[in-house]
Amino acid sequence: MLARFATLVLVATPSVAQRESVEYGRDVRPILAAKCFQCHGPDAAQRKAELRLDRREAALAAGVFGDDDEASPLVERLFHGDPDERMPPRESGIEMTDAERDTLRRWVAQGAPYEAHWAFSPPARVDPPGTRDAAHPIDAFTFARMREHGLEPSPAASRRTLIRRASLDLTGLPPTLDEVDAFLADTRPGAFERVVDRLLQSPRFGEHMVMPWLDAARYADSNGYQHDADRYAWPWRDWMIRSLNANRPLDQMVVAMLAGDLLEEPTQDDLVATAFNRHHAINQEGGAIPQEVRFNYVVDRANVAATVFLGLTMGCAQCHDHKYDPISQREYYEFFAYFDNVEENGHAGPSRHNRYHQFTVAKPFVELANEEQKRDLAAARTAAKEAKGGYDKVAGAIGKAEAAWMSSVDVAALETSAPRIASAVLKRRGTPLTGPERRMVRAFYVGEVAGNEDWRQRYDAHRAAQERLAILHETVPLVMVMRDRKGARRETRVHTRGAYDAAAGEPLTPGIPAALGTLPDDAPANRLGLARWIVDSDNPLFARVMVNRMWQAIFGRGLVATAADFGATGRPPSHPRLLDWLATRFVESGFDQKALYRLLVTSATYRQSARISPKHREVDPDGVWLSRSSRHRLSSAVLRDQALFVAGMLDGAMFGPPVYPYHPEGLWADVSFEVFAYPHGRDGDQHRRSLYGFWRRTVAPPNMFDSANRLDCVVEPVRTNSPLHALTMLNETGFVEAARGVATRAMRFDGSTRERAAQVLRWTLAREPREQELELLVSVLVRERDRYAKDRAATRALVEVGRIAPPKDIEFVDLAAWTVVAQLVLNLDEVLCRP
Amino acid sequence: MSLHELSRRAFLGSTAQGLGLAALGHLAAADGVRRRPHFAPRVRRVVWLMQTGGPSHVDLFDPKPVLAAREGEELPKEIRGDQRLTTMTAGQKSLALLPARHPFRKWGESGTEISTLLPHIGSIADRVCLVRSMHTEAVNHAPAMTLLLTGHQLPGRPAFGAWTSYGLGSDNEDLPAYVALTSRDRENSCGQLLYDHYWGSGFLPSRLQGVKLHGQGDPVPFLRNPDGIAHEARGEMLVDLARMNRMHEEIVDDPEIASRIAQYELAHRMQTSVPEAVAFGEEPDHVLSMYGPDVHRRGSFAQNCLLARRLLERGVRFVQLMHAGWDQHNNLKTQLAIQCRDTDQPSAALVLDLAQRGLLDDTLVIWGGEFGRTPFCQGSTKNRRYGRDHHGNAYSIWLAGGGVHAGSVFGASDDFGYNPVDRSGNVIRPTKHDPHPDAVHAHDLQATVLHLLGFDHTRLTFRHRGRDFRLTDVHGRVVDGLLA
Repeated sequence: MLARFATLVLVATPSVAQRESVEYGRDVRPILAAKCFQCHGPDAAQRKAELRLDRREAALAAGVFGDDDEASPLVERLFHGDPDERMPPRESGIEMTDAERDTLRRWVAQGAPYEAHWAFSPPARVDPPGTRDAAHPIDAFTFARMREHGLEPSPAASRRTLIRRASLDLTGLPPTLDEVDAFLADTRPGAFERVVDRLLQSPRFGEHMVMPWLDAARYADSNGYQHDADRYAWPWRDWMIRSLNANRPLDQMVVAMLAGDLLEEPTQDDLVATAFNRHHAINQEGGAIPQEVRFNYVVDRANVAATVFLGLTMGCAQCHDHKYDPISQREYYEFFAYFDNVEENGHAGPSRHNRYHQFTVAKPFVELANEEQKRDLAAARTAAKEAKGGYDKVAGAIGKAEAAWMSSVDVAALETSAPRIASAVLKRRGTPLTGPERRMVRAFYVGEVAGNEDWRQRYDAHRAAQERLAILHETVPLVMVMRDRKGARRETRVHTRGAYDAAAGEPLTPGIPAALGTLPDDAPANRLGLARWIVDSDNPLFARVMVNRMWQAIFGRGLVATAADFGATGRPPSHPRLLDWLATRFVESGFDQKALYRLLVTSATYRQSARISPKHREVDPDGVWLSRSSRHRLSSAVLRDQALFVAGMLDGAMFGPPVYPYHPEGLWADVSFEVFAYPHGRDGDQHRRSLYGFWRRTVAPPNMFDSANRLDCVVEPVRTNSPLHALTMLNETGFVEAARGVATRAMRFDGSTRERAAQVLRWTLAREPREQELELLVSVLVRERDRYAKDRAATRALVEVGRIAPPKDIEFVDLAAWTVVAQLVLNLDEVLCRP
Repeated sequence: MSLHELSRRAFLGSTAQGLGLAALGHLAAADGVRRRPHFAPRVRRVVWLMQTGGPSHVDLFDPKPVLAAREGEELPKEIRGDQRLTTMTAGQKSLALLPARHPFRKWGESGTEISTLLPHIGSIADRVCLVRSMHTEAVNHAPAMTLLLTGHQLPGRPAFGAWTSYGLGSDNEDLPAYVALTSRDRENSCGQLLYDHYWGSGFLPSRLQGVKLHGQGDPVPFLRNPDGIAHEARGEMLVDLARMNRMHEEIVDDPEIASRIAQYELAHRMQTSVPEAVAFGEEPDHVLSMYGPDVHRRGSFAQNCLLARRLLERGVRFVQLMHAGWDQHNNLKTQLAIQCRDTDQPSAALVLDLAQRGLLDDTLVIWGGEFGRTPFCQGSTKNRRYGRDHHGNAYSIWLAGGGVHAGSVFGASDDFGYNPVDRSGNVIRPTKHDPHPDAVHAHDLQATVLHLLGFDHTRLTFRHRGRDFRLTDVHGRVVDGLLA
């Protein structure tokens, strides 16, 4: 993708040679950053010949520019006839093209003017350019830029396309037919704006917009590393959804995420917000060195905060001065120091158990319980302790008797009455049983075999009390939060080469890199001081980084294509003035996110058709100049939700602990060598929205293809195209069941085969079918009906996929045939892509 | 028109219009540009027999008579230096030397000394390049394994095989280029999990991630059609799907649609090619018996070795076979022999089987784990349960196959198997920052394997979050001594 983009820039931008003059920021700095700064840049340790080219004074002092073009030592070395003298040196492996050399020559000839890197200067206050046909300010910017590249805006998309696009972009779900019809019938001006306002008010908005935040925050329901125990991450997810739906100003949200605990009289929500900085993996590995573990957590927090809120690759400076951006290693550890004072020690614990898994958290944490839950918990714990005491008195005797029974029982007889017990008994004769297997055998032995009423009562009481506690443990979470140490702050020093055990030099005061600005004199030297500076309008990066990601969420790619890197090696913005205008407007609006989204989607730029013209193919294959709408593939989470929604099966329940949708049998067990068993058994879970699905770090949900890995912070969407995705869409139980749901809906629709097929296309695509398409779908239905009429077994098998029983009042042959038709429709490229 | 013809036309059609080729994700490399090797490759494919948990080098590959002569004595302070220990032995008062319980012997013409616990590997000693000066700075399983496989201790970077597919693409359009297989010792003695980031694509496109073939259920998730849909019936439906997609393509003119059709077609072919690759009913008895009796047990190391050969034969570029169970902290006495029995014969069989098919010349076989084990005892030999702790300063792995210096030993450790020594026998303490030509760091191994695949490890890079990343981070050297 990057390489394609690079080619495109060369094609799309008039080459420097054709231009009047070269500009430092646009033409020169990218060359210097990629090919020269490694040895002649900010990193003092790597600097060669004591020459740095990233600062004008330093380069001037070194005399590299000479008196005029010809006498410049820099130009001389760039064009030197002796390959051993020519820069960049051969052994560096860096190749510089003739065109790049010429650009540098011309720059020197112009007097080698420098400009500050665009992203480190405050956003310019600009007005939209006067553009003859642009009624909306965004269009004024984009139309002007299109025309610079010989492009014109595409015609507006149809209303049907528009409502599907906006519904998917803002809520992650397609529109209902009623919504489509209402929009078509609304002939008053402002009809689309009213649709947008409705979507922005939908509770589905927050559920959709939280997804990129989960990826950025490396959000997961388990700890990762060797044990990968469960954790309680979801209260933070719910706080995010509620905040987004309430349109809480983004600056407030970010202050809460970074420093909610340091606010005056923080609320429970303020504490939960700080879980953002605790979503990193937790290491419980035996033998792990706590100092190293804790150091890694702090590195993780510092790097993620830099990427998410500043668009900076600050992590590069963990081991050495940043090679491209003005961040010294010392400044890295000053930033790191903000996150280094947490009341934590690198150890994990405490742990809790419930029916399926072990929960393990690491300090600091808060227990989220209301008064009633607190009382219930205390009572349940007392009861559990008592019941266990009663059971412990007989447990030894039961164990002995059970062992004797297991070695003597006739397994063959057991096979018929209790096959699962029989196989466990067999297994135990060779290898030890797992915990769940032991419990299963114990319950069977005490209940069915031993015939000792006292044992049975004690055992049942014990299990019931444990069960009660387990249920409470699942709903009363321990949320890992940020809390600083009391008393003197932990001393932070530079770590030589970034090693945890190589702290050196004097203790540092928390601070920000000088190139980004200065902190107010009264700023506290803690995360609250950092958070307030990050959201302050003096910070050149925050508002730009945020509006860029919001733009990316709507248009598919950012104005800065490298959403994670606004530094020297990132891509410069395609529309720098538009980015600055949006950023300043966002700040002035009080960080009003819904207003910004409304602004984006009501532009004519947003409403264009996605059709690709020959001119687009030639000039702008990737759509950088925005003269058409993007046709990117929807995320796997949206694809799953869309299928359930069209099938009429989506369970709209919001919030709460993670749920367990369909999952291939044995996958967790296989990957974890049977440590984890997927809790398939819970009804209803399988139709909740994808965002609520349990996310195990060591075994990501296999149907969520192309999702961020949730190990590391990811702020740019991944969209690949693999045969494994096709297999998921075609064969995963949830998708097959959804196809049958669509088929059921079709058959309940009163109409001919043709009318039903038309209806299926309307439900999925919000548009009217074409004649050719209906012919094809009807021919598929006829063929499949023939096939299933001859094969009752196949019919039965297909309609029984999944946990939901097929409707009794529908002819199964028809249902099977319609299921195949629905599968075809749900896999159409048009269904998989943003329209 | 068959599905294949249809999508082929779709593909060629859009190529003629100038895009399309780059859009065909699977055929082209990650970013639409098919990379070429930097120089002529020595091997086309790699199989890593990853022994997870940390096989004990002093028991298996690196004989140390001094340990027997000084059994029970303390490890000399000057040998340990300021080496950090894991928290499992850091608190232990005594670090008493523990000799190998099983004898070593010289094998083959090369006379390489290997434990008698590994007679089959011993029997192929003349094909093996044994490295006795491997080292790593990681002290725990997950970080050490992550370092060895992804070039960094913290998860998030692409695994070795993902880099390989990124650089070389695939040799078989019907199978994934990078496959992972896992197994564990039968006693389930260890707690190591095998995470999917060990074969993940990190920041590379997810298409490049290793596909784990599962030991139970479907070998690939969702490979099987739902019950009630036959392969041919699905094929017919996919032809119709492609037709309908073409109708839409005429309207929006997006070359990505051709790519989508091609991927659905490939998915359909994989539904037969993957089961074909993993079903070895037609393997003759004399081949099956090479791998030992365990070959018939689903998900065993032996079966995975045979599977690896079948996958390599069919053009899979990188097979990562991971076998857990080497973490003998307290069960060295009983479990080491069992672990050797389960892995010895299949490992050697794979090498011999590849050789008899002429595949060994351009296949690289790597056998080894994330670190070795301490020459001193963890726990006490007075108890029944004792063992050795993790040890990364010096340990052993072996290589076989194309471009490798067969029948040789590279590097050596000191008399205690604790530190590497240089050619003159002087103790050295190399680190990734301060490498030594006689020792092989994880990054050096990575650089050397990439070299065999035809890549300069410093030039196989991917830009992510503003930086050109590579497998070897900012370290690594090609170790010429390992090469033929």
